[in-house]
Amino acid sequence: MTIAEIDRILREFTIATSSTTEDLELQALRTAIFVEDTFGLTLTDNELDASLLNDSVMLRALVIKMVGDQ
Amino acid sequence: MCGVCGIVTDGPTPDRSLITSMMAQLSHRGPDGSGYLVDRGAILGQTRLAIIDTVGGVQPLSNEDGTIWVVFNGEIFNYLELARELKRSGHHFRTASDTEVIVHAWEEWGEDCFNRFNGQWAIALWDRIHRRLIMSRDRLGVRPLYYHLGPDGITFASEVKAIFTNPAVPRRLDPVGLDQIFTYWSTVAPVTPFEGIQQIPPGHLASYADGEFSVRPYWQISFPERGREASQDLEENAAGLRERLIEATRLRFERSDVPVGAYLSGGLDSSVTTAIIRNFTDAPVDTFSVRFQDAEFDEGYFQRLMAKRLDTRHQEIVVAPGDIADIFPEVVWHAESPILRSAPAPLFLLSRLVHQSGYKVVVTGEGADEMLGGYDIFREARVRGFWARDRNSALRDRAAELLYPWMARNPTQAPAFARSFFGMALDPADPAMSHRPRWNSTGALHSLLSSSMRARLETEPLTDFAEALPPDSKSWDPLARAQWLEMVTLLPGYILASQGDRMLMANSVEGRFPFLDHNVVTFANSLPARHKLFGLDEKFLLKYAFADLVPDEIRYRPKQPYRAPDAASFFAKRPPEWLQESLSTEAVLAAGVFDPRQVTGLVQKARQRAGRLGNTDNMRVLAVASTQLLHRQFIADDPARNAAEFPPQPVHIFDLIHKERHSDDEAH
Repeated sequence: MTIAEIDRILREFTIATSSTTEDLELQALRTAIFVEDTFGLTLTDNELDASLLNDSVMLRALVIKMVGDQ
Repeated sequence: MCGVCGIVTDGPTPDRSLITSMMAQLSHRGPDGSGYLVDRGAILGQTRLAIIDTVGGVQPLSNEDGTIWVVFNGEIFNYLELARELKRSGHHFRTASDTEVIVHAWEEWGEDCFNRFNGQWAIALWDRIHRRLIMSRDRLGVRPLYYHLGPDGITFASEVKAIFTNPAVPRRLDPVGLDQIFTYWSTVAPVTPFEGIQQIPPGHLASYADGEFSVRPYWQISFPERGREASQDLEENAAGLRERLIEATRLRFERSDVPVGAYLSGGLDSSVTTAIIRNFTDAPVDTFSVRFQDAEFDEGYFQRLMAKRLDTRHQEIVVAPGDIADIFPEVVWHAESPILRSAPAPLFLLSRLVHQSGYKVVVTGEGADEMLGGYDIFREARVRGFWARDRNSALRDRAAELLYPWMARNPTQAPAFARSFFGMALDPADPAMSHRPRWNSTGALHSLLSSSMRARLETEPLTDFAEALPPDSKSWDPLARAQWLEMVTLLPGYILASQGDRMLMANSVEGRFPFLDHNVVTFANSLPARHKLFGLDEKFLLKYAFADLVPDEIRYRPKQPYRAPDAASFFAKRPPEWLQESLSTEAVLAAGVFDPRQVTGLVQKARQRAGRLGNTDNMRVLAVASTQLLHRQFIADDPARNAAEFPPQPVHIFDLIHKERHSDDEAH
């Protein structure tokens, strides 16, 4: 998967989650479910971190790294 | 929409009284008139709900030289386009009906004609030259078609009650069928709840000639390999879905010679279809909704919101639990199956309102959840997959709250409960992992079975339905596998049958389903999974594509599955007499399905709690009540006794043996 494809999907993700109102931990879990299912990844508990997953820049970096490592 | 029936035999031509009895049993499906043909070794009949070419479209109907005849229940929505093409090829039409397209299409294309139809159908074609009966059912099972193979021939009909008017057909419940219902919620075609009665599977055609019977698919549900979908582009896919759904809705609304109404449930799907009708047609729109006295089930606020926004002429019916109890025997009579929920009952009352309002046709939103990833079972499977990827994670448990926000009110209990239920059968290698919790929890119904029923089932163990998944499904996205399982089990067997066709036809109303248009279905199946279920956001593409037509308040409301009060309908007040009779020890022993002591215990529990039971006990009550009713109505009693005396008038008779055509005086 190319970086352009990853970026396209992450842009879609911002549309899909624009209306959610959960607490930060639940938002992070929602993001984790999306990332794992869409990109075929498995996150560690360390990576199930709201400060990481709820930040679009850090999320992008994480996905690009993990997809590249596959 | 209509009822079809017939007998083809290798022996003497059946007596006409058989076909008129069958047609009388199908009066509710076609009250506007009827017709039958008599040929050597064949009688075919039809009861008509006149919707297209109300004057000219009398059935049975033939091709130009009378060698091919058809009886047909349903609509071919692209009939105008097909007729133009067939006329260019030299075919001559006598009527303006969609029915006539079928015989000419069969002449022109043979079995491939079914792939050219855009519609919903149960068709029986009689080829006089080859003495061959061809039966076909639409791709997803909107219209029913049952048959019985006897030693001398075949009997077929839109409903089992019509087949049972033939005294040569034995009447027995089928333990295999019951086993499927008590696991999968419905039988899976060709199985039915009745021994010796089978159904044409959706997307199949069948042939009977010279005592030989065969069935084969003309269309199959398929999905692309994960990652190799036709388009990954959101805007392109949204435009594609929008275009196809608008066309599908427009066809279903406009291709009618009688007015068409629309159901409004308050949810996304029917809001989309009704909004399309309002915005892309010129006709005034009449909408119909079912509401509940019990606020837990009522969606009236959202229904009225949409009706007001679209400025429809809106009608609603408010259902009380007692209403469900009163009509439940009639519901089972029409459903012809055990049912595990009372949800079909309010829909019966809704279609009665439609009929009383003078409407014969409604457009509804069924099918969207299956095609576009709407059901909770798909979201639950995502969360379960999330758990399965790291079972030792201390953080993943809270994902259950994303499924059901009410769990946040019991934060210490909820994750444990969710894990114990949804965490069962967590095997990512299991192609049916999405459905195991449902199948396992429904399977609890087996604890009610009598010892003789259990013994019988041990000799015919239930096949794991996961084995029916196509070989290439291994390459599909897990969501696609889950969708396939829904499309082959619950959709045709329960949603379109017990809740759809049967509850509508009970009041002579035809349902039309834009989301089940095969162009919409094929396109939806080609989508990447995330455009259907985006993380846990269900029907993502549908919400995105129609953001301009459906308000955010409906697009983003939490999914509320359509439900009705179950056991509470029967036990909140004094149980109705029919229930007390049906669940008596005598009746339970007579049916032989359930253990009387188990039933007695269940009834006591329901009485003590005034019907406020958990999910599994609700299913148990409905399963026992409906199965007992089914036995009484179809096995213990002769269903023919409930039939009208005569088929719907006028009756058109085509005597092909004596080459005569009569009108209805001959019918009685």
